[in-house]
Amino acid sequence: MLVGLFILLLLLITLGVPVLLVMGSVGLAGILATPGLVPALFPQKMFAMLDNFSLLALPYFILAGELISAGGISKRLVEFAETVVGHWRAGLGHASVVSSMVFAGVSGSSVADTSAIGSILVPAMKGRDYKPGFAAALVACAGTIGAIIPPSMTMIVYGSMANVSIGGLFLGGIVPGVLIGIGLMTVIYLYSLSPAHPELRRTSGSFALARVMRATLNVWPALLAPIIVVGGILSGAFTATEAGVVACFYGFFVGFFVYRILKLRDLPRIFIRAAVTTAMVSGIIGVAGAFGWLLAYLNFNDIVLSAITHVAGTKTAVMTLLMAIMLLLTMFVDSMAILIIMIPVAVVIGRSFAIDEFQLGLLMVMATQIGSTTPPVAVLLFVATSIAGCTYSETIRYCWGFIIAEVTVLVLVILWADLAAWIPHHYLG
Amino acid sequence: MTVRWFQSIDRAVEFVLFLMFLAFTLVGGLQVFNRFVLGLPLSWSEEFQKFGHIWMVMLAIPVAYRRGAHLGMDMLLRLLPATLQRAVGLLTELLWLFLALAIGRYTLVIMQVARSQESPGLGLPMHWVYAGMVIGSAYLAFVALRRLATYFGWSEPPPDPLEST
Repeated sequence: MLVGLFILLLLLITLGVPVLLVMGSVGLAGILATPGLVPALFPQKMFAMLDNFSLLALPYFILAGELISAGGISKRLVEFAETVVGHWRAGLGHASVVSSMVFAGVSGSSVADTSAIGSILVPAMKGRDYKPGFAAALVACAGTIGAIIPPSMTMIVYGSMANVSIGGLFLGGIVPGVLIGIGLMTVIYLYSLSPAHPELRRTSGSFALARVMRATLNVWPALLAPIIVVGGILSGAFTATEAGVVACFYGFFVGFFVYRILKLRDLPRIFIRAAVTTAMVSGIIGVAGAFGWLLAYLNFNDIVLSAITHVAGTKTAVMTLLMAIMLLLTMFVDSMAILIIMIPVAVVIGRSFAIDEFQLGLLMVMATQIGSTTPPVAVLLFVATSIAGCTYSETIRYCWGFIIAEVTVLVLVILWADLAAWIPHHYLG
Repeated sequence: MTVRWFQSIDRAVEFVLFLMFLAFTLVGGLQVFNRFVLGLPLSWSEEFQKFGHIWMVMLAIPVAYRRGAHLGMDMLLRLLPATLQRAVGLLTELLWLFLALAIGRYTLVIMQVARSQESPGLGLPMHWVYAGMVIGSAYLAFVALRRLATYFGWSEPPPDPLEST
């Protein structure tokens, strides 16, 4: 039965049937085909999964991201980043990492991060003779930070399904997110040493404090947003969901009163677009509630747990194995689908090996993000390649260095739980 | 004529989405305001937002489907010959119809049972909450039938794509 379900699942996903539909119809077929189960279990488990207040952080942060980016913030962010790091070698490359990190504090989605920053910086980098494939690989990998520095849609998905504090996961993402940024910038620096990349040795302008101040004035609303969100959660004042509500009102305030780009008649369009994006993710979570329940009923989680325990005995070994499985699967299947199937497995493993919940959560989120930059199936590389207008194989040629940097941070978090777990435990108790 | 009718239904559904999303976001704001400024937590606001979200998701899944926005991997599909692509497309629409009818049908079963239950915060009869799943699946089935009809010679103008920022 289990084998049949997975074969059907993989076959349909590979054929390009949408993930929500695949999980929904395979789960439904499984419940119908299992003797002793009533079909009403399907909508009931779906409802139970969605009937969760912490999941509301998802529509709120999606809406906040739409409202703030409707105010045209990404262009200003890039200008800001360029005044800060543009005078370094390969300044535009570094600027793309810095803008992705700041944009990550506004948006919770790595796809939004890659397309917002990429659509401005990739043409600029091509204009300075950067290889299009290099620019694409860079903005795709920098985009992963969008889902690691808070807020993060992937963390909301993980937290609400695994029953882990989303606020805690947000706080845990700060250090790994910054480390990935530093790692990517190190890789850019190493590329700039290579004789094959003379374009990366050029610098643009010099550092001027006055320019930085002026650019900061331009982007303060975007810089303030993560401070409100993270500060509110850190102080224990807000839950992640409430922080999301506050971010929506803040985004509306900025777009309407500060930048004055937002108009009241744009609101229906913005809300509808955010509702559709929410449904794409919440819908998958809902059907995954029923599908995951069926897998658990068929003892899938215990089978995987005993197989993993058979191979690996220590905490570190188990985490390494789990990450290896995640990275391998996400190469070939959409990484969000893999995350959602693997969350219950990870929770069972984490419990029986007493792995810190925030460490485990961060590892799963990071693996999902790395998975969306590892070919052949890599949604961020697809987005960036289409922006850069190069061939997919050219992007793939340049992505490996950046992926090594991301995996290095992943390994650091496996070895040193405090990187992800210290801040949440310290501030949330 | 029929096409124009269908399009007004689509537009009405989307406008309802906007109103729902706006309503529960405002309630969320009210909850934060009440708790932090007035020090009076509300008893019903969490449920209002949760149920609003469920209704919104169930109605927005078909909207995303109509706009072709659902996440999937189409890279391999594009390598297949045209007839196979068409077959997979037809299978996809049929699966949507199957999912919609099943969710709608079996949620009706739950609604029968839930008739006597009330939600603790709002005191709302639970079958009203579940009704969102039935209405959402009915609209989903409606969209799937229209998509299926396009395989048999019927045509309607393509939906406006999701504008990107």
